[in-house]
Amino acid sequence: MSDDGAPVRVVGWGWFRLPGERGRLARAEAAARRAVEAVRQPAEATAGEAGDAGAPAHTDALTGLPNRPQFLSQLARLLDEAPRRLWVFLLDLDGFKAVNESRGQQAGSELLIQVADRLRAVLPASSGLARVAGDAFAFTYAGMEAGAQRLAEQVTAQFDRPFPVAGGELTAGASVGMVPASEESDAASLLRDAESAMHRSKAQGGGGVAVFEPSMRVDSVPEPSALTALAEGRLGVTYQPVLRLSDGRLLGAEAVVRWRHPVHGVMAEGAFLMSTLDAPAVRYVGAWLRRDVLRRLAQWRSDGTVDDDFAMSVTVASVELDDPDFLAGLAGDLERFDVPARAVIFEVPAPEAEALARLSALGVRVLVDAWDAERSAIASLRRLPVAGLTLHRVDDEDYLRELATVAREGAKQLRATGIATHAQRDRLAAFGFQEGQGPLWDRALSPERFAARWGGGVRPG
Amino acid sequence: MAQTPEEWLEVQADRALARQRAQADTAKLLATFAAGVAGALVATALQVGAPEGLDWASAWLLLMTFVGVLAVIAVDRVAEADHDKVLSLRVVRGWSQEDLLAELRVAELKAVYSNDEVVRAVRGALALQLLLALATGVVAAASLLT
Repeated sequence: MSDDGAPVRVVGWGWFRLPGERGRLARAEAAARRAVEAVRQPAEATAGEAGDAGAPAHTDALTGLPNRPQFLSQLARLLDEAPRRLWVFLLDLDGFKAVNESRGQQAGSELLIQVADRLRAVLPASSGLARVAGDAFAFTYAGMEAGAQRLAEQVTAQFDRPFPVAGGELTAGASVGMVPASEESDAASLLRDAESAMHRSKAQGGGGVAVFEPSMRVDSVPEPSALTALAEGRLGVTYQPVLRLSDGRLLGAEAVVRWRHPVHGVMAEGAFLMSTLDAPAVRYVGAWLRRDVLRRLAQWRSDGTVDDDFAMSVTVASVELDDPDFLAGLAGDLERFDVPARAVIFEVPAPEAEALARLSALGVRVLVDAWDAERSAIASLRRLPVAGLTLHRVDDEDYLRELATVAREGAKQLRATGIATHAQRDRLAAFGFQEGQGPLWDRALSPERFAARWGGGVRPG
Repeated sequence: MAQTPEEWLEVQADRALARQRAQADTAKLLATFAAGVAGALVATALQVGAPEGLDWASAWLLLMTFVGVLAVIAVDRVAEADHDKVLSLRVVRGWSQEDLLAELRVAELKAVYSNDEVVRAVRGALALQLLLALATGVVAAASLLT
């Protein structure tokens, strides 16, 4: 008898069907799975308890699910037995860090337990559901792609309903990455590929499902990768004020990525971080950075922390400008957060003029990093379709003079960074620099501290 | 060695399957037997004199009784686990030994739970068919006696 579940056959005449037969079999299958699962779980728990003595724990204490090593072990066994038509899924909660920060870790734990319960309910017993990281769950599916897609949709649909957490209701989303196994696959690489696909889903706004493609692979990113850091909430954004040199008025801020690296400590230089990542990772981190910054800017504009003239600067890498989806994504983000394009300044390395023209045409201001330009190519900067130039080196007088001339002739604004003394500020102002930032005024601050210190455009005494 | 819950469940499922199979077979046997008795009465009634109203009525009722027999046979959809298919699915779906065992148990229990409904339907059909057979016999007997 052909139905989608566990196969049974009619003992006598099985060549015809009666009305309602499919429904009867579906009810029977559901009851049978409940019964088998009810017997199986206590048995596994008992076996786990018996095996705990002296053996490493294979179960996540919070959710009761298998942990990452156990999942990888089970996945490796599945791959040994039958790798064909096996799919690996990685599900990561969107905005879990915000839940922990706003409602406390207890609420975060409650949310994880409830997510685990809902996943248990929707996934078959053989899925091998496991909690493989803080807010990441993994599972497998054996079957065709259509079935895998259906399962992923069923899983994401579990997040349509809010979660009752800490006496209130919490709406949570999840991004899912899925990858098919092949004869050459190993468990670790499959999980990594599923993670890459999950990050693609997150970069596209989250709450969706992405199927892995080789272009998503981020093998070259050193461990722990920035993508992992992003998923685990270890990447943050800080804001350094940008001021008018003549009177110290607040003009805007520059957003700087801050990475709490487990080995290297806090790394807080956006340009450096971007330069250490490969192209796909840069795109993911860049998309996340822009959205975070635009969300923050929209919030500050609405609550009066900054005025309408306040402009937020964000670093953009060359590979992002080469991305054909970049401009469309940016326009969508501006619209989504209701931020006017003139309130955003992109700092870019000196790429080709065509890419800059497209960016400027969108309405955002573009500053080119003059430091990245060859000394001999400074003269060509005046012809670039950008609003101005930024400079990180403030002590080379010849260079400053040359740059000031180029800016004057090309009607470009000039911004200097890293200003530490009053003398530097006065000299830059004398050369024609209009705006600057640096430790003379303030370092890069967390959003909360920035709002407290610079809210309303008042320079702190 | 003590029996595990899974093993106990399997034994119970086997027993339930056997009982369900027997109930369905008994129902078909009863239906056929009742139709046979009713048919004999109708045949006897038809041999006495020319066919008249009650004879025709009993004949039509007998026809419906035979249809009832077919219904009892048709609703007997007692199923059992298709072990061969489960084993072949193992390769396709990449099940481990443990998963395979679980799926075999699911198939077995699925058959049991499905058969519960089937047996209820068979009993219902049998009850209806027995009423028809009884009515056929009563009408045939009345024809003989009048």
